[in-house]
Amino acid sequence: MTLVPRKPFFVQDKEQLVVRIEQQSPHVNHNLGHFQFSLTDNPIVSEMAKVKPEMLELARIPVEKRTPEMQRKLTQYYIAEIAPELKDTRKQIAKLEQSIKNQKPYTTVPVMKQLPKEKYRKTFIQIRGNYKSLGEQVQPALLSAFHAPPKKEGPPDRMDLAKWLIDKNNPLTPRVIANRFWEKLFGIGLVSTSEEFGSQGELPSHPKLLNWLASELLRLQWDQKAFIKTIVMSATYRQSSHTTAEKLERDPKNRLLSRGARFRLSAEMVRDQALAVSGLLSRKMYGPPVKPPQPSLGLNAAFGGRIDWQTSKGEDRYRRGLYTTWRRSNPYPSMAAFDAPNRETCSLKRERTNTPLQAFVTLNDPVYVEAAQALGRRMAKHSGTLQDRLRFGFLLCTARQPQENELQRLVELFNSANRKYQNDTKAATELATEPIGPLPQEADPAEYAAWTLVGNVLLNLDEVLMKP
Amino acid sequence: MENYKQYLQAVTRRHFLQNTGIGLGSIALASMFADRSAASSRAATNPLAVKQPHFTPKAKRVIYLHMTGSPPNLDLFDYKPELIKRNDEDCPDDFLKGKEFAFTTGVPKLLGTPQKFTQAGECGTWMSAAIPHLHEVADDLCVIHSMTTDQFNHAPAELLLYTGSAQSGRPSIGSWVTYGLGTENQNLPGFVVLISSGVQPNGGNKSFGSGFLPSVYQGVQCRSQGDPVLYVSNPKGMNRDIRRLSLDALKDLNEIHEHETGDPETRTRISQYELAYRMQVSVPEVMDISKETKQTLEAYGARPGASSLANNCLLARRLVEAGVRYVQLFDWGWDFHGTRPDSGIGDGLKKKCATMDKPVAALIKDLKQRGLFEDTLIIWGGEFGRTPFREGRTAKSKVLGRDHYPDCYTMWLAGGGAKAGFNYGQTDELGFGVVENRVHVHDLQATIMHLLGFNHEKLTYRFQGRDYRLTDVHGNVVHDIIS
Repeated sequence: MTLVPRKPFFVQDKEQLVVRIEQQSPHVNHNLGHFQFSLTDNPIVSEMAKVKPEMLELARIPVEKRTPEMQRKLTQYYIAEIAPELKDTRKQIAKLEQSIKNQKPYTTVPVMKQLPKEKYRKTFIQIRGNYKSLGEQVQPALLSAFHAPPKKEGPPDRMDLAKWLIDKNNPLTPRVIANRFWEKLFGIGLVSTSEEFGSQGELPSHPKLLNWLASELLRLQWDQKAFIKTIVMSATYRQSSHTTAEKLERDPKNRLLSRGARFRLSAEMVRDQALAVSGLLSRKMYGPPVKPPQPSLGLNAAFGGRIDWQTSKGEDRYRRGLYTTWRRSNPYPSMAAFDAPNRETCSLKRERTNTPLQAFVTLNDPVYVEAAQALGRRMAKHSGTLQDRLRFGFLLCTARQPQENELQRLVELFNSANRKYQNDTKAATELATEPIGPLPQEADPAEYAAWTLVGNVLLNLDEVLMKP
Repeated sequence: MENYKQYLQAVTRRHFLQNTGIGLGSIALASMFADRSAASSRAATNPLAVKQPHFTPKAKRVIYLHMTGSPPNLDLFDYKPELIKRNDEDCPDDFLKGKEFAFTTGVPKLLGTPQKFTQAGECGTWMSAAIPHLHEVADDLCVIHSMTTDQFNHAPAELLLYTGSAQSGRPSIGSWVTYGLGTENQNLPGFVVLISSGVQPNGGNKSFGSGFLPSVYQGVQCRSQGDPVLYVSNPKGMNRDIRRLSLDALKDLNEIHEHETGDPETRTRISQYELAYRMQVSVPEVMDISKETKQTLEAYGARPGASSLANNCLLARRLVEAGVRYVQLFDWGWDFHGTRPDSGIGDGLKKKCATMDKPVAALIKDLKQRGLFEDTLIIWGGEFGRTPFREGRTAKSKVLGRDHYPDCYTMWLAGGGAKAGFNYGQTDELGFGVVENRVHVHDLQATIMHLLGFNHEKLTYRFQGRDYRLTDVHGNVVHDIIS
């Protein structure tokens, strides 16, 4: 052991250096045995004292006798701890490491982990569901009616279940998954009861197709992107959704796939789309949930705090619907209006209703008013004639050029709104700025109010709310 | 078969002649209603279209008055002289064995009511002095003393009461009713929720949620401040003319597109936007109580612009008058533990009752006066009862309070086919258990559905492979309380 004094000291003539050793071990009999002191004033010793003993040992081995492994260790150690020319870099690294340490996690991620065998929970049948009235003890097992699980000692665990689920002898899983993708893309699954493939569910409309899709999913090794591509590039998917009285008569719900799918966007998509076409959408990913504007209700939750929330600042206000804070007792109202499930139970399939309360959301909710204002400003900024700008806005929202009569109707709307607002600058300014903020310099409030109104109409078009 | 008999009993000659005027089809339709495909094909066009129940109903609409937290039955409707006599004695072991309470352990003391009881009306129903105005309408009430539930905590008990299950995820009664009957006035929601005293019900929106039913059937909360219905008001700077201007353009553009696609859903959307436009007038109008006469406002103790149970009682009348099927009120602050002077069963209860007693009595009188009482079912109560003994935490306090108690409690019905001036069921002399005519919450639900013309076992919705109903696999109609 080398002890280096914190400050240099000098021992003058007739002075004595006293070294006191304190025995602090709880084991009183473990005294130091044979020990010896030596003193030196060689400065290199204090340097060497800072070096790890095992590295010193390595350094003492002559270079030619060191193995490459020893040499590598030494070099690494020298770079990381000693090299004077890297001092600043080391400081920077230390600082960064400290800042990582200081970071508080946004949230913790719960991880499901199998308990060690001796800690397995004992599971009993609960008589009539009563957790206090226990019946026989039960063991984990897989459903015997299906393919046999791989042979193995003892009862199956989670890993066995996972493997069994995606076993190539199990046709059920790929069928169910294929059907879910189909449902997302066509609005209704080949098996319309996507949540129920059992005896209470409905039979598939196209059993062979479902089986083929399931086998494709296996062939593609569950590559979802490739699988979706297969579906969306099919002739069936690419059909026009336009229909005729005859088709409606013979295939009212399009279960025979006589036309392309046409159905309303989901609650989240309605929001995301409005933000996207208006240019407001934040594409920031990950992180904790955010709180977009919601009306204040002035109510408390039972035995809880206020229901109202402080709207998130900056771009968090415009994040995708996916990131919206969701309280089961108070779901985000505008999305609840568009059939977003309340998340009380697991729900695979969503209802799609068409109600006046939905019209209120996309017409009047400040989130959508702001989107209309932003979309309006986007059109106003676009170059060209009034028609060019309207064409641009229409294209943004519908991904197609307007027909002449459609364009004409928008021109008419813009002009009459513009005329009406010329006489009422206050109202015009309100409609054009609340909540998005002040107008660009020298902008005409009436004109911007008219643009907002056009934006509002575009965002409420049936074609915009529906998957074409 | 039972269903068919009820139907025959319910259909009088007059009804029959009325129905034949429209065609025998409506009778066929009523009996066909159990058939899911018939219901769903109609729902496809307009999920809120008026539908016929299974048989001719006694009640056409419901006003449900929920006292959130559960009022103490023993201090309002369930008079127990023996309990008063034995006040402060140790609670007998027999009553405690094997039971659990929310906030009480050990041996609590019996608690007789500090409220004075007298008999009210010709029917002689015992009522406490905390509710003097309700004494005046005693002969209109059908008081059930033998209610019982399975849950002793607020949220699960409330969910059990409203959705038939203590676990969340099921539709509430109002949603079932709207699913079964549609909406009479298409310019208003069919199921309206009014909340007073500043706090949501214990189950949050789930207590008036649509569960797995389409969300179009969920309760629409109407408010006396801000937008009466969320987003009903146009944005700032947009008046009704400009809204019309924009909706005209929207309609024209949608029609051009409808012509292209041929999709009937577009036609539905156009009509929903037109409906929204009409609702922008009808909703604020029905929610505006300032047009009521001074006498009416005074009778309820309502004040325009305020947020109170009194206002909500008056609004409930306005809403049912305008054709809303189901109005659900929640009033917070009935959890009488005695943890604060306000939540004591003495003066605290009196004070709280003063905000409820007068408007609720006024509501009954008002409905009678307008000829709406007979076919409007009014329901009053909490989610469970309260103990006949002092709550554990406040046992030594000056303020008297009671713990949660699921075994027995009082609720009352009025109008809508409930027997008037009638007392049903009994608890034992100390109020610990039902000794006669037990009514479980599932039985109450079955009875409410029956009064509305439904066989509660037949109004079902298929979800995840199973036909669900409000009463799950339980519920017996309490025919004894039906007039």
